[in-house]
Amino acid sequence: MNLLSDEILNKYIDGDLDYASLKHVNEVLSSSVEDKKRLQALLAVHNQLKKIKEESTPNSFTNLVMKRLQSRNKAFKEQRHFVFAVSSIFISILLVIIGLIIYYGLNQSSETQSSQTYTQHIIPFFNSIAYGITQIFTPRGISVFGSVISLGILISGYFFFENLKASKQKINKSQ
Amino acid sequence: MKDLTDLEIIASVKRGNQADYAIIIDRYKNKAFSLIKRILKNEMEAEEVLQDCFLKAYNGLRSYRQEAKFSTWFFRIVYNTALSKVSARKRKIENEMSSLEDHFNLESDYDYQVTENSDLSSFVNIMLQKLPSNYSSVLSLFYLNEMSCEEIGDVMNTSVANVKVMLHRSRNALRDLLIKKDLMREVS
Repeated sequence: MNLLSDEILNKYIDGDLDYASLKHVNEVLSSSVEDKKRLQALLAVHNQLKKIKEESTPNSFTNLVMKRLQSRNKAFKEQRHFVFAVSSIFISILLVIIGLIIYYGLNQSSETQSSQTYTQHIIPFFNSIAYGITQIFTPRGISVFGSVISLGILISGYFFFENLKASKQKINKSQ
Repeated sequence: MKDLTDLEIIASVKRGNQADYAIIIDRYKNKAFSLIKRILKNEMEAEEVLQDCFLKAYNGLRSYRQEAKFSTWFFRIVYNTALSKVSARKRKIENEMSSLEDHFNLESDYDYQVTENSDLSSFVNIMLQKLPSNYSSVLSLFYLNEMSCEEIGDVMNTSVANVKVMLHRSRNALRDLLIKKDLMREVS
């Protein structure tokens, strides 16, 4: 008859029993052959499990992973450069628009004001900016800039997806 | 360089020394491979999954906050990736993982013949392959990786009590079979 439960025996092996329980278990084990046999078998399994060996990966495994990492990083870098180039083009276009607005505005203000104080310049300056904007964003201006930006988006979109495709192919190849 | 701690190596990788990641790979590849192989029970797939795990871990290094040990964090990735693979293979892993009510019958899987060459070691290794993946994972993490029950709970996203129950059940199952098949002769 088993006097000690499986749980107690497992806790005994793991050292999870308190002093009183441990004393009780030791007393039972000294008198119960059946429990002693169960404990010995459990200990045998425990000791054998401690000896299990790790499985080995192929020798080239580390190199393979590092290669995949490098090609993935390279692809990401290329993508980053591409995004940077596209953003630069858009920022340049934006700067040109702002430059033109200021240019028109300054021309307008220099024609109307010649001898005013610094504070008196502020309101006319903004007026002139507004004038510049109206000069740029005439129906004709809007259609010109709209066309330029749309063309830019189309071209960069095309190259972006091409780039993405090439990167994916590179990553897949490296696998 | 190989004496450096995981955290020191990770700091170096984060500084841009990508090559140092190879030390981390060398350090954990075999243990992780053993775990994945026990879950997937397929060597080729295990190798593929392991590669993905190292790539995932590399990409996630920036989000690693050092709240847990690197090994615990990494093995959580390994365990979850392996489980995802199992799900992808349309195995009903949920049934296996959802509760501790599930039972396994090692004896019905037992095809191990006691011969003159058979020993306790090969018996344990064979039976380890027969255990359900969550039970063999617990044994692998406990004995091979020498993780505590708390760490295993973190890796497997389960409570310490559940980990202990799985550990005890696995041992008991192996022991019962050991007694039944009279392999105890070797022990005594």
